[in-house]
Amino acid sequence: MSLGEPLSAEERATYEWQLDVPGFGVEGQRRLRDASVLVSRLGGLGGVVAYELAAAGIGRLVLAHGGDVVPSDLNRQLLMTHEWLGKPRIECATARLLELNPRLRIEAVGENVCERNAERLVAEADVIVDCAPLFEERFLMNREAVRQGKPMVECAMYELEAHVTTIVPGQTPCLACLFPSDPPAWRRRFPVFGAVSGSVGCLAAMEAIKVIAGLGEPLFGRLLCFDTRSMAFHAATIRRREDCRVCGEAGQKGAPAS
Amino acid sequence: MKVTVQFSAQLRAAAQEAVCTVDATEGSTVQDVIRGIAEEHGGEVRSLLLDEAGELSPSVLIFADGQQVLWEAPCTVAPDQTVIITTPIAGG
Ligand SMILES: [Zn+2]
Repeated sequence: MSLGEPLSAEERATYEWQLDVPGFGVEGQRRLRDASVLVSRLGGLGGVVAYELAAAGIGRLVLAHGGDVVPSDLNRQLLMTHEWLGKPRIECATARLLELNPRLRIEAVGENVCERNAERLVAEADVIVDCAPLFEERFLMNREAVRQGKPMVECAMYELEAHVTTIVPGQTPCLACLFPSDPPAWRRRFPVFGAVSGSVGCLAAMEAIKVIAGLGEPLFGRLLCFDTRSMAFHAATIRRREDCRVCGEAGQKGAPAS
Repeated sequence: MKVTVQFSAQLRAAAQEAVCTVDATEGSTVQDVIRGIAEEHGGEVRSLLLDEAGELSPSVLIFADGQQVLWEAPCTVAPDQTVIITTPIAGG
């Protein structure tokens, strides 16, 4: 499937309902098919991002997620199934995605983003969707996305609340602009319903689709915050920091960044 | 003057309330209001808002009128303003 090829009959048949979206059309569909997206971690959030992108006809997914399926995954990690308990999450996720979309090309990496693989994984993708549950991993992807000039959809949840923004290096605030110091209060285990992480995943997938297809107005320089307890949604303008350790002048000159 | 402050994420859990009303003096800043809340609540609320040196933690997000307020840029509060404070979240 080379760049710019017309849509096949199968692709037209599969995507005809979304080809009707104004501003998207055949050109948007071809852009999706020719794009690669890195989704880091396929949990309650990333699993839904990957599934929605697979459904929308993304060409290639680079997926990173370590470990085996455990019972406590199954309240939210919609790519994982009971049958796969005790087996690798990445294999379960890959099988599920290919069931939905056999045209999809997947680079499956059975480990989480870390210092050793971050540069390579980000280099493999046109757009990154950051769904990691640890700031350490999020900061690594942010650093590489800024270094390599790749857009990154930054999405996160806690309990019944969530945040989404889309980072364009050099234009919008990056993750280190938002959080210039390490967030010490963050804990690996967080309260979560799958319906909340899944909602964020759908919004993040939509941001990735918009960025790739040039559709609508992505959340550039805006942070969408929502609370499903009250169903209050608001988007606030966020600020770039000139002294940002990653995207500010110091970061760009190759100073140590984390 | 009355200022409404909304808490979200871990801060809301720590404060055990989603919203509070603060009586702020004329000319005080958003930062003053938040420092006051940290001192008044103490405990976990204080530790989420202030660092070990007692300075406002730069990774706490503050919004007033739909705009982010940076800690280092004092922003005067207006009567009946709503300030939203949220702590960093990374759940996936
Ligand atoms: Zn930055």
